[in-house]
Amino acid sequence: MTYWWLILGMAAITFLMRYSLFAWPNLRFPPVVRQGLHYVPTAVLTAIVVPGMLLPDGAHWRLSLDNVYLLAGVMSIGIAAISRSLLATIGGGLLVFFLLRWAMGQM
Amino acid sequence: MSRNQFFVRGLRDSVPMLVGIAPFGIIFGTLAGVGGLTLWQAVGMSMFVYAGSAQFIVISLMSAGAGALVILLTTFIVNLRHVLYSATLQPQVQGMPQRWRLLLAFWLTDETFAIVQRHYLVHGRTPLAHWYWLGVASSLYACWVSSSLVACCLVRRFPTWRVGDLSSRCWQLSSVSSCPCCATSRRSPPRWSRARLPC
Repeated sequence: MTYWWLILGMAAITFLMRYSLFAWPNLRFPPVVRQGLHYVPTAVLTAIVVPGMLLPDGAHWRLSLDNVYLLAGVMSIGIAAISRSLLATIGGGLLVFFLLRWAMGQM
Repeated sequence: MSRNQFFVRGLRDSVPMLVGIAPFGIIFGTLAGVGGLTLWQAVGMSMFVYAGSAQFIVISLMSAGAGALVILLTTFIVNLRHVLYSATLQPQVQGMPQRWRLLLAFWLTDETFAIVQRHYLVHGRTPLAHWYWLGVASSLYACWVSSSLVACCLVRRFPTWRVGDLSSRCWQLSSVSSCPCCATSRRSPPRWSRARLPC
């Protein structure tokens, strides 16, 4: 029963943040804010992906050639730049990651 | 284009993301299924919270016996980025009826945001663009909930398959390129899944 309350609490918190600015559909942001919001996709997605590539354990830098997260991440960026295709990037990235992992005996 | 064409185009554009989401739904379903949650609590989390990275972290917090306040605060911090998504897409919901805004807000995840924001950047705001948004969002939601449900049912029905082992192994291996939303929480497999690892 407690778990259900926790789940409902999590749902409420998450929903309120997602709905936060949809609640005022007629609100207009000043130009500076609008300009800043243009960078949200790049900023947030970079903040999610880059630490996962450079600090795969969440604590230590691993700038080495046996860091599969870094190698597969760089390959994915390359695939994205060349193919401009989301499917190729995700599928290719997964494939490269697991192949490298297997080749380096890290499975 | 008609409503249906917009909707179908949204479904189509969501397919690449499904490749990244389904494996994580399966991993979530198995981890949650072998933990302290009932089947419906595990699937209910996917249905009502619908936020991958927060769900993974909370599952491991629950197994570590964390208190309610810690769990709710963690959910808040991990999901705070959604306020930015909400702000970025806010100009597109102007004039939209309340029920549309509620539904699209509930379905606003990293992946939905990435696809829909790109659509608005490329095509601008057209009168039926929210049908495209609906197509993307409903498809990703269906994928997340159904993959969690199927995995959770399987791991409970066939515990001897040791699907949990496989899943926690995948969890440890999971790649940044596959699901950016889960990458932040990748390093904390739940205690019970570690205990079940053969190695």
